[in-house]
Amino acid sequence: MTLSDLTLLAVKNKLSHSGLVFKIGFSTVCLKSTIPGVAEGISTFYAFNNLVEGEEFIDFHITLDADFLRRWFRPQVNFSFDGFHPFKPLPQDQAFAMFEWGFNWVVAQHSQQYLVIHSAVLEKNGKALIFPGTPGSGKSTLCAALTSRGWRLLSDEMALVEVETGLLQPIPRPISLKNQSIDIIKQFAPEFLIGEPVEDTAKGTVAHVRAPESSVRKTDEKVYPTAVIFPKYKKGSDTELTAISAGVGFMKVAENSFNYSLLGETGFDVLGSMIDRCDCYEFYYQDLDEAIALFDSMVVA
Amino acid sequence: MSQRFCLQKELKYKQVGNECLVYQLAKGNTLLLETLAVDVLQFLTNKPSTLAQLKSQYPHNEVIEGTVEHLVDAGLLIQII
Repeated sequence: MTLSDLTLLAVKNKLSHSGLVFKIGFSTVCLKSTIPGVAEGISTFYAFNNLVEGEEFIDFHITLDADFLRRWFRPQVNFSFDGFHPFKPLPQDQAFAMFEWGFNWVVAQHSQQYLVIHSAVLEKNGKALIFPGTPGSGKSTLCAALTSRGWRLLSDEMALVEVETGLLQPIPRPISLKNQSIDIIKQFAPEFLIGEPVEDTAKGTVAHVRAPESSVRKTDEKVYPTAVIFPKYKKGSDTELTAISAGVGFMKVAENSFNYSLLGETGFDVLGSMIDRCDCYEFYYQDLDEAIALFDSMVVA
Repeated sequence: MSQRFCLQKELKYKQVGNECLVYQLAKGNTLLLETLAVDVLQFLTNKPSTLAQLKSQYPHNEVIEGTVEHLVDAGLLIQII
């Protein structure tokens, strides 16, 4: 049973009482909230995620609640994880975006069974590409474009490399588009379900793209990475893929990891094994069609 | 007596192509080294040596002194008397 099997009213009831318990990637999440808009956001963007019934262990207890003193004047939302408030409150119209950002933090901070790398991850023909990216690199735009052309979305935000096996654990969630990339993807993939843009966030204007059902249904299908590609959107740039050494690739991935240092020697071993499996590249692009054609050619069956 | 250079004990290596990744267990730092630096580390693994001995090992290499200095600064080599 998935969230799409519940009416919006049923989702609201669960959120405001015992909590909505559902799967996101490897984790079981219990979310509580009475904030307007959260039920709509969760129902829309997590429609294909499995509901969890019964006594299953819950990995992450999350609450989005209103700031009591700010009920009427510029209402705000607070994110809490296990009763702890890691962030300052945000305007209530950013409640769903706050869930997404907060959940990124929760996974990055509390999933030490994985080496967590800030990156998009996509797969086709059994070959997974990791796209680490700093803000503004065009990672999410590229991720959305590839997803719209038949690539499986493992994540827009983080690669989870299983410490024990080196396999990538999928965690398909909404793709977060910012600023100009929202209109670019609306034109490029008109079939995508894209939420209403939320303006004036810390990241500018943000809109979310729903992860395809086919990707969400394959959450349990882990895959080995075959390449690490550092993308950089550059206006006027030709499509250019340049190989970099494995050593430089290792160091750049380590810089983009949330918990490489925390894992210590284990992080060194896991990342070393990953780099052994992967070719490493820097990638400059402007034209999405050219980029997709290039990556399609890299993963020919 | 001249100072000899020897390897910091708690290091872990990973050769990748013609480069080498070195992990310092005590500090948790990772460094990427080029071939010459790796050669020096390997040479010193079982044989603490003075700078003069190292220079004689690499007679045509003018940057050996700088490489050793860099490795000392990075905490990969220590100096003993």
